[in-house]
Amino acid sequence: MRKYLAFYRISIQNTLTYRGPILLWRVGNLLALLTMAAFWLSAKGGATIGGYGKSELVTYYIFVMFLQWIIFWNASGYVSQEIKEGEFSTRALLKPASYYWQKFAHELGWHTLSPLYGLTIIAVALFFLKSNLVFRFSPLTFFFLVIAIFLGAVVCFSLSMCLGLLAFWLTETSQVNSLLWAGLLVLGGQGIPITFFPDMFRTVIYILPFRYVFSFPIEIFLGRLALEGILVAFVIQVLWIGTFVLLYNLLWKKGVQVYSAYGG
Amino acid sequence: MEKGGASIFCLWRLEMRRYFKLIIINWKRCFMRLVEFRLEVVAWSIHSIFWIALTFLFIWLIFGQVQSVAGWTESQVVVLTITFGLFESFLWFFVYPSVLNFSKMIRRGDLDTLLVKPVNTRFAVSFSIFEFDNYGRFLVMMALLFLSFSRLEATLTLANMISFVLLFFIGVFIFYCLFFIMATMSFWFTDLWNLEDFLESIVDVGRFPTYIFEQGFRLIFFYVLPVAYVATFPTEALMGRPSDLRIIAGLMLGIILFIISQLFWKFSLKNYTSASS
Repeated sequence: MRKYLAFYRISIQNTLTYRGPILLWRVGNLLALLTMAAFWLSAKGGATIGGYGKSELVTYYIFVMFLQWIIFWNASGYVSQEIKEGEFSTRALLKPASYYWQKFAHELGWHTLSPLYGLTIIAVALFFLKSNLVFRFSPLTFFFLVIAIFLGAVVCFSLSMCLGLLAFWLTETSQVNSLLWAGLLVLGGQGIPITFFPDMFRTVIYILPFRYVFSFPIEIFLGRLALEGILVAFVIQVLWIGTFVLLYNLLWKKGVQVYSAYGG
Repeated sequence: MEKGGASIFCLWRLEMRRYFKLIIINWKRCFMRLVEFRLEVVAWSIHSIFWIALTFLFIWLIFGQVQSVAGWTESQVVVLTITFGLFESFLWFFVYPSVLNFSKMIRRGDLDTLLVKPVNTRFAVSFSIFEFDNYGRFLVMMALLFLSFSRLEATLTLANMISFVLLFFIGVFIFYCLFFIMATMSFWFTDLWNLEDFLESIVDVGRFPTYIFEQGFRLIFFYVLPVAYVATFPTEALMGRPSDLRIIAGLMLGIILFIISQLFWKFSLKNYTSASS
């Protein structure tokens, strides 16, 4: 445990050195948020759009921005780069520590500190959009929300680790990695609420893992789920984590057999 | 006096010919690299077409729930989205790669190699890389533009097409100048390695009709951070809305931004200390 705490501390220190780049990202996030808010506020439809009122949609996108900072644990880029450049030998094979938990500590460190840089951005967003916010909050909802966010982050992380390990067999992995982006954006509720999809699509979305990263915590936050729905979703999150961990172990076992350390 | 003027003109023509030749050489070099990695190019083309399909899926889902956005109908938003795709393809053709490479050269101290070459350094950094990877997306978008135009309730005239092309390239030039200014900041802030994400987030605002913004923001996005030139103004030109003033304003904005970027570049270059040499 102590060695992983050391990895966590290193990650925190690294994050502190990236103040400029993180600030650039946050300003970019703010631009995207203001654009989406303006888009929905200018839309002409019925009383609700996809089951959401306009204010709910604005709140939805503010929460998406916040979730992006804390839940999008994506290690696939680092993993595939380390495999392709041969660094994998020293970082994974020669260290007496699990590669999975090293990366877990790294992502946890990054996502502990980097959202704090965004507090100013949240304040600016709230200043412009304060009249369009909807909060339905209770201590119990908050408790469920924290669990959903943590499990969502682990689902995202485990899936990204599996995608990263595909670099053992593929020379170009950026397209595969972008499947994670696309999945979360379209089917995960990051780009658009999943209620916009026709019913038959929604059945598939409820099975796939993407909903359990972004959409599920937002649905809790906006008070759109009953207790039963929340508990079922928790079970599905745990099942997806288990599936990805098993897949990760399988890919690892097969992958290290074909791995060659180019330039390592 | 007349003779002196003529010789200056000849020298200028020779210089222009030399720079044009350099563009062609760089163009060829980049194209050869593209041919070398054929499989990657095919993969990228499929990848970018996949993202085009996702964009249209979003439009379909959104307009399944709303009638219009800021007064724009589904067909108009489709043409706007295609124009945005064309604009992005064009930026990725040479503006993004060259500007990002320029920023990287400053950080790594590689700019020295260009400074000692007998060529205008700004020209060299601005036209160093041409990415042909986006040709698949560009072709698909062009085809879609012609197909989707018939759904617009507008007549395609030569004047509209000329206005569209003019506004489109004025937009490219404006964003080249803006991005060049931002990349020049790497002289002062050396850790801006994610500049690409930031620049993309600015251009992304132009993905939607700029009319979604209320008055104050709208004015900013029309003429201060002019994302309206990305897709809104060119699309409106195609739809037959008056564009003359926008062309003039865009040209003036482009010239002002070019002068600012040139002054900032000269000023920053004086303070360049290199990183490795």
